[in-house]
Amino acid sequence: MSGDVGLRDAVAVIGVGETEYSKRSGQSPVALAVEASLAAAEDAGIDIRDVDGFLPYASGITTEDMMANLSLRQVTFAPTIRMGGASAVAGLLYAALALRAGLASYILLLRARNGSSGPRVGDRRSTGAGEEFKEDFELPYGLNTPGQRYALMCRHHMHRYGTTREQLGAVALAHRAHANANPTALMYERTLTMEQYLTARPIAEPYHLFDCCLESDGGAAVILTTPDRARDARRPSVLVGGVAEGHPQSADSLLGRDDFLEIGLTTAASRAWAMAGLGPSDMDAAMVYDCFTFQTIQQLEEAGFCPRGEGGAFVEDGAIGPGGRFPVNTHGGLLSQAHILGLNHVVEATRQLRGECGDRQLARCDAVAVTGWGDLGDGALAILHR
Amino acid sequence: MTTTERPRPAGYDDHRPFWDGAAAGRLVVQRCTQCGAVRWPPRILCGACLSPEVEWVEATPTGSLFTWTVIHHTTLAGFKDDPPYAVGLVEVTVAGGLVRMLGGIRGCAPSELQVGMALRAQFEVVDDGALVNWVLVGDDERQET
Repeated sequence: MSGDVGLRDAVAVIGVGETEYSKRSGQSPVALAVEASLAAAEDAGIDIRDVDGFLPYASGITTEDMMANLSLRQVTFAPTIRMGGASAVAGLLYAALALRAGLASYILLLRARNGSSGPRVGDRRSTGAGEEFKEDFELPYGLNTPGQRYALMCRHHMHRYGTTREQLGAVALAHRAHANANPTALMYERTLTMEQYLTARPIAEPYHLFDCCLESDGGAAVILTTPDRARDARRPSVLVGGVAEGHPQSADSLLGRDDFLEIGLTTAASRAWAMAGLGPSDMDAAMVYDCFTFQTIQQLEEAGFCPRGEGGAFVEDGAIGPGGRFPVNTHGGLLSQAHILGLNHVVEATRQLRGECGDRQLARCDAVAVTGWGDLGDGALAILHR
Repeated sequence: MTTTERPRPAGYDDHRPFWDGAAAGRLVVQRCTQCGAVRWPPRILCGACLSPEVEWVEATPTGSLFTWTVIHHTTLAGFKDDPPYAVGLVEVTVAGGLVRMLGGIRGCAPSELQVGMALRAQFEVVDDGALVNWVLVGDDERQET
């Protein structure tokens, strides 16, 4: 693992920015992207035109869109990472490579979308892997959404380990309670009780309404640079101690996996921990890609916060909520803040580490783990620290 | 862009042996002729030995329910009158191993499904492809086999 340690602390997060999160932005995704980018540059104390690296989302704003609309002078590094919701965290790995190699000086990691007022998830044509198989062998049976696929994993875990709906509900309630302390969260003013959770309408059982993430409009941006340059930034820098990506067996399909619960994060985690020289017990919190309640439990297990099968018990009794033993997604996550493709998780980790979170600020916050999940189980883990 | 027609199998060439088998009431999956490993989904190479040599072998069209979801909210116009409907993964034993196949789960109320239930494949030829749904094996049937 000594080779992996070479990228330890290669990236500093020096600026974060977000637009308002809403159900109807009334703006184009490019306008949201510009607003979030300018906010991140302001936060970092740099001129946005100094950005020379760009990490776009595979199906969204392009490098050319941003060069044209931000008057970027030159972009020398702009890879497209096709890992769905894991791309934001995996992007930190590509930033580490580019910054260490001197390919770019300031890299903009950006997500902006009208995920609520624009095309919704079930309407967007999937551009992931294994599409021909899905068209022939899944779509004709009426299966076409991420929630339906991940419900299959959830059901298996419930059967194998006795995970209960109440434990899934504990995840939903913890996220909602965090969001109730975060004015930027879409669900800031909407509380959620276990009774409401349990009686909500079913979507794709075992998932009911509150097991599912939000669909939302908004943009988030993060500016990354080398630790040396970060010393001139306006804010205390946050360093990426370790970061890794991983992909599951039979990466384009849930079928064909010997171990039905093993995901990309399973193999990425050990590499990221080794790079950082830290382990799960060193973390003060985690920002987990909470596309659905069970996927939060699953990633807590696969990242090593608890053994496989014990995630249900791990999240019970408010343990991951405000003031709990191990807070998860203090911003409210995709379930209760907004679905900004996991970049809002990187923003929140950064703000917690800087101590800027007001009512929801963690008393102690020296290190935070951030996970990403996308495209049927691609995964990434980053360890951010002060 | 939305259509009220059900999405049908697109009938990709790589899957042709499956459609031909299903049209004849046979459930076929891929098996490596070098090492004998069975696989599903179809792949170009064997995942165990990387051999491109492949045959399509008939599986006994029965299986056991591995996991499933009951869909109550669909975004597909062609399925708008169907909810609730169950879609699941079925474990099918073939000489050489075990594969998991996806299909509709029929023949009992979705609320009564249980892991491990015995299922039987039911073929329906449509357009250029075929559908394979899975129905519960009745008690009578099970005694016969």
